[in-house]
Amino acid sequence: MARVAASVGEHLAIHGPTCAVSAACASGGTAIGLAANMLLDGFVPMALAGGSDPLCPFTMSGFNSLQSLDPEPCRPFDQNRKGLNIGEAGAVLVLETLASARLRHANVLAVLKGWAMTNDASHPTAPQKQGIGLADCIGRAIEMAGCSVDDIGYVNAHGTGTPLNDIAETNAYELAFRERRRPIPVSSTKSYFGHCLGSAGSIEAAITISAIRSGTIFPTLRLTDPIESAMLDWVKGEVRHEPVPLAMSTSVGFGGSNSVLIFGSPESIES
Amino acid sequence: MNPNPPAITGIGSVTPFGTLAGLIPPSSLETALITAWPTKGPRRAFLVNPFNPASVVPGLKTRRLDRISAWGLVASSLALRDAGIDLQQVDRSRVAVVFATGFGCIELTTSFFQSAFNNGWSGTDPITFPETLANLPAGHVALLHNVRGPNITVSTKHFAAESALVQATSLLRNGQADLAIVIAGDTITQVAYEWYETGNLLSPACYASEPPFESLGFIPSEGVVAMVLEPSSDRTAHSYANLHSGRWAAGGDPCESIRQMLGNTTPTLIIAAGNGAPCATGSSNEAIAKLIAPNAVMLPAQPVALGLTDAGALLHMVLALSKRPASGQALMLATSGDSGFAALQLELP
Repeated sequence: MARVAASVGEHLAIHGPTCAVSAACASGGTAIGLAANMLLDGFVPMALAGGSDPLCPFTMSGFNSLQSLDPEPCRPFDQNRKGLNIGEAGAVLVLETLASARLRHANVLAVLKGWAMTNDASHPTAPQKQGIGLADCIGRAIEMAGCSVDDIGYVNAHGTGTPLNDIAETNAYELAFRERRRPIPVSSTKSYFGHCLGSAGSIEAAITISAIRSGTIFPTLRLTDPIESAMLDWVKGEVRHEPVPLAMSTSVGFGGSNSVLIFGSPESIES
Repeated sequence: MNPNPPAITGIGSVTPFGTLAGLIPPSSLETALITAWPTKGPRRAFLVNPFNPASVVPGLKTRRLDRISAWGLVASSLALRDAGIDLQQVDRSRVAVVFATGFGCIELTTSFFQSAFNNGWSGTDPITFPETLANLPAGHVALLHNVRGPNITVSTKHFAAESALVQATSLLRNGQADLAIVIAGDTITQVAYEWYETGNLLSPACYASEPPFESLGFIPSEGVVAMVLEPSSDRTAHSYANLHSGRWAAGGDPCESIRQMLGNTTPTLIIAAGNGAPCATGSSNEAIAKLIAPNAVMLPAQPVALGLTDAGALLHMVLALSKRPASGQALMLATSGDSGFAALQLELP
């Protein structure tokens, strides 16, 4: 596992700390959170953080043995969802302190305003049904970001398309956003890329940043009959174009892992 | 100096020294013959004696777990017991688990591949698959103790355990957890041992019937060590050591970075650590120690901890603390040729 991070460091001749992070399918998001901690501590002024997972027989066979795969294109959050599609990808963010970015006149794409990691401590593989662990994680990230539940303009959900994940995640959002004044827009972009496992969190972080920068929210594909929820605004059908000053990316993984990242526009730091 | 550094208040271990809470009493340790798989001739390593985890932690069920998961459960339980922590009195959503490993769940990963070899990719075992993930040992620790804070598994070339301690310290410092259980370890398997052997990395002592310790190559070792970290001001608990700061890096000038970390303090004790890789030589540890703290006493790296490779730092630290060093400032130091270094600044109460 360590070899991947070490190889990146060797390739780029980076002499700072290298570290591989495992939190199963929440690895990408967790890696970004830990890198942000290192910036916060003054440990490093800049970090490369993300995830990478290739498609291979090992993972295909494993998820097949768990009967988690949908042979058809997946339908996250749909009442008729049957499972996930495995994908493969790698995505890395360059994180640096605002001071470092301003010093070198960098083009700041977004600001990581809040992040958190928690564990369900409920089951080795299944998420906690009421979504308490993920809701707690969302609450901590919102507290760190110094914003309210009403400020979040979009949630890029973990949304795998498995029966157990999607209902637990829906429950988590209902719990975390229960005091919100209007439904929270939610979509799963795993309906485009499949579930890229360890890299999902970092790819979805990039998509979340893209939503902020372009004011574009991609809908969940094939979502025709969503899980019923008065508090969630399922983004489906058409691409939405609206300002998204703050957006959240959530990740969940085997072993009970949860991670949440809240990104804001560069302008949000001034406010 | 950090005004409220995390204190190490509990230690638990499952190592070739046995299954212990607290420090490891000084004792001589001999290698054991490997019998778990067929070898080309007599092969030796520092092995954990088989034991029933439920005899240490009553009611513990580990039948379908990788040994590293089972040992993590036992070691974390012993560390919490040693720290005198009653989890009923703790906000468990504020307890973090940080796990460091070089190989992860290599035994069940091997089993999973074996089942694919025997039954084809469509006939693999659904119970084994999730247990192959590197973060499952930490997940099981969270499940056993119902602790719901950050749960992180790290693997860092040469310095996994050091990086876990630094990450745990960061979680405490940044208010993301009130207490952290740090766990580090690995198991020896046929795959790993034969890889070492093929790479010509092993000490001649691995092949001898009555081994002297040799500096050339290393003797593979296995085990798990757990530590409880909590802010030193939080309660009047006994502290084995306070962890002021830590660094690890994949290169650069270790002396400059370590001096920066130490600030105005000068350690009187150097705890040499590292792993068994040929580039992680004791001589570079000594050279750097002399440059930074020429008058410090140096405790040499222990072969049993060197054999734990990337995840050996916690065992190095426990063995050093077990020698009951004098109070004062200590520097734990591991170098790895041009592959970097790790340094931990400790205060021994």
